[in-house]
Amino acid sequence: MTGGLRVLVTAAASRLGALVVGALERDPRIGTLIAVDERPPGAPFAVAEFVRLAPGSPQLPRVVRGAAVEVLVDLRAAAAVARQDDRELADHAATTRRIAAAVAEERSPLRRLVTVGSVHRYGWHRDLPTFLTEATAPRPPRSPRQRALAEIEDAAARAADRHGALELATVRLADPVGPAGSGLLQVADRLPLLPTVLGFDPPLQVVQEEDAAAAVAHVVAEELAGPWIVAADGTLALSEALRILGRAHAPLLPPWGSGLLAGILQRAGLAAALDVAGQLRYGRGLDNRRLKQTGFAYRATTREALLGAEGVRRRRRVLHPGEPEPYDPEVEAFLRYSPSVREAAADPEAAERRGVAALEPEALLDLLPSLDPEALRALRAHEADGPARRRILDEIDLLLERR
Amino acid sequence: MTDVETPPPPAPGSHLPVVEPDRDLDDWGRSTRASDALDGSLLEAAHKVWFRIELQQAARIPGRGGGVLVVNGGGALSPIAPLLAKAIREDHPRRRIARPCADPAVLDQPGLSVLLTRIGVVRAHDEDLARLLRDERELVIVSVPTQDLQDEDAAGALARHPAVRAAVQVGAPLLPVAAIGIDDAQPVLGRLPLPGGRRLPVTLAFPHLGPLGLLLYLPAKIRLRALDPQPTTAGADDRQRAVGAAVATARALRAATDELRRERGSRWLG
Repeated sequence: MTGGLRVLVTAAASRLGALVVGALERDPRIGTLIAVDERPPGAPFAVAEFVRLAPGSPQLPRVVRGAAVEVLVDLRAAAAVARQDDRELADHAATTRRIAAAVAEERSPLRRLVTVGSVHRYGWHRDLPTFLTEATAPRPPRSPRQRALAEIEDAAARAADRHGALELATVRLADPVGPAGSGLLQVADRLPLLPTVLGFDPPLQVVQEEDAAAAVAHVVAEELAGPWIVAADGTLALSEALRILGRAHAPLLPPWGSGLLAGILQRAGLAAALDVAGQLRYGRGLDNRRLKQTGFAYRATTREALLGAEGVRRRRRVLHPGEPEPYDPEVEAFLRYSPSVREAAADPEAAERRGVAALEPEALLDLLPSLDPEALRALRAHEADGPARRRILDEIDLLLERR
Repeated sequence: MTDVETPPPPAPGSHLPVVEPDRDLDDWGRSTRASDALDGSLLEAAHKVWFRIELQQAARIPGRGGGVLVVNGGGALSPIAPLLAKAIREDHPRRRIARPCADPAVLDQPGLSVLLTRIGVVRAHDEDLARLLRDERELVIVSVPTQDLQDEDAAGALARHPAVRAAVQVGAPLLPVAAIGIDDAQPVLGRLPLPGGRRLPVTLAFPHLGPLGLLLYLPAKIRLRALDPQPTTAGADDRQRAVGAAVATARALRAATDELRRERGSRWLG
């Protein structure tokens, strides 16, 4: 990582943030990568330098100036929506002001601002098209979540306006789906039975979280400007999605008055009530073709994303390399900069290469029967190229023979 | 505030979502199973036995590319749009699939929302219809009441219809299809005024038989005739192009329905 773009990523300690940082670390066009957050990350980054900021990020402009950051990727909104953390989303004002200050500073090195939000910015209404595009005008915000998303986007647009030469990219992610969550449908996890609206089966589109991170990295590295929608191919009906997730559902909500009920629940403290009601009543499809036109390719469709997430969660096993190493800034600084350290610097692609090799053999053996022959053959090739554990290879051969 | 420039739209027909062949629903919510079931039962009986539908000049409907089929005989209780879609599947050389479009308010009704979507009805929204016409190159059906084919009605309601606006936007043609017999199958005896300027039709079976009245049609013979496509590219701006194409379509439909009526012997036997 020498030369190339100098990029700073906010909310880097979130799962989505870590995935975006990982995707940027693997991109040769990125020269310097700085990850900031108010919380420590779950695991150290391979290349990116992590800077922990105090609540409200008061030092953010200093970091931007000091590191001569050219591109600021503001992931706070998307990370909070992915975690369904509306409280954190509502507390955006202080950091938003710091970002505006960093942009507005005299001789600011920033030349691009990438604001990553959510398609929930569009709101819900019957008069919206079945497939939202980048040209669709968002509805006036109604829920606290929509309001916060709109405020963050508007603040970025105002900051870009004042700066003049600053390029602005606004990325709106569909609900990212992965082992850690399934977007708005996560409400179904907490209920024995998800009540749906009688007489409606609205459309639903999500994006696999790794695709979401890769899309953000693509927008950064390709230096794209303007609004971008990130959503996987394929629009499912809500019932189809819930069937994939194995969630029980029944049409218990009346078709009229669900908005009123959601409004009451929202005032009672259930911040996402209006958005859940919107998904259950109207849903939305998303047109992802403009980003694909720039050369981006999604790895998973909506159905594959949900299938993958559900498969992993059903087995109560997360496909990452075991327990993450705890982040300790002093240890990290020692390992990176001390002349006493003899091991080569971490390889950003190492974690990806480890892949299933990092899984315990027992865990992997449990997974094998659920895979189809094509996946088994791919896994066998991967295993043979990597650790080549005899037990795993034999078990795969046995399964392939039986099928 | 900076008006962030929207990236250019995708090239027509490019980068459409991948098709997952093992899925029953398409991205618009149309169910192959439900459509086939309806097609092979109710619509089959209506097409071949009850209405004995005859589609003339089917080859005038293009074999490829998007287009808006404008058929007269529409109305709140009229089944002409699904019947035309069935006739095209039966008689068109390429057996094309056409999607009726409905007002968003209709698709916002509980039950209808799912039922209509599953059989392939799409929302009458400019952006959706532009995608269907330009990118997915599909046929869309708009049904208009026969009594609304005067020039001023066409220049008003029809020219403002989202499907016509979308056709103008993407340069797709309007494809008029004249229909006779459908108005005889459920003659409207009168119209009750409703709040908001709408009128509720009163027929032999509706509203006193309730929703059942929607299914009771007299066995009139239905004749359909596809007419020459009307281009939507003549005119200084989109509004003029829409009005010009809508008026030309309405005139062609008026003339063709008059001709069809003159040609037929009995309204029941054809």
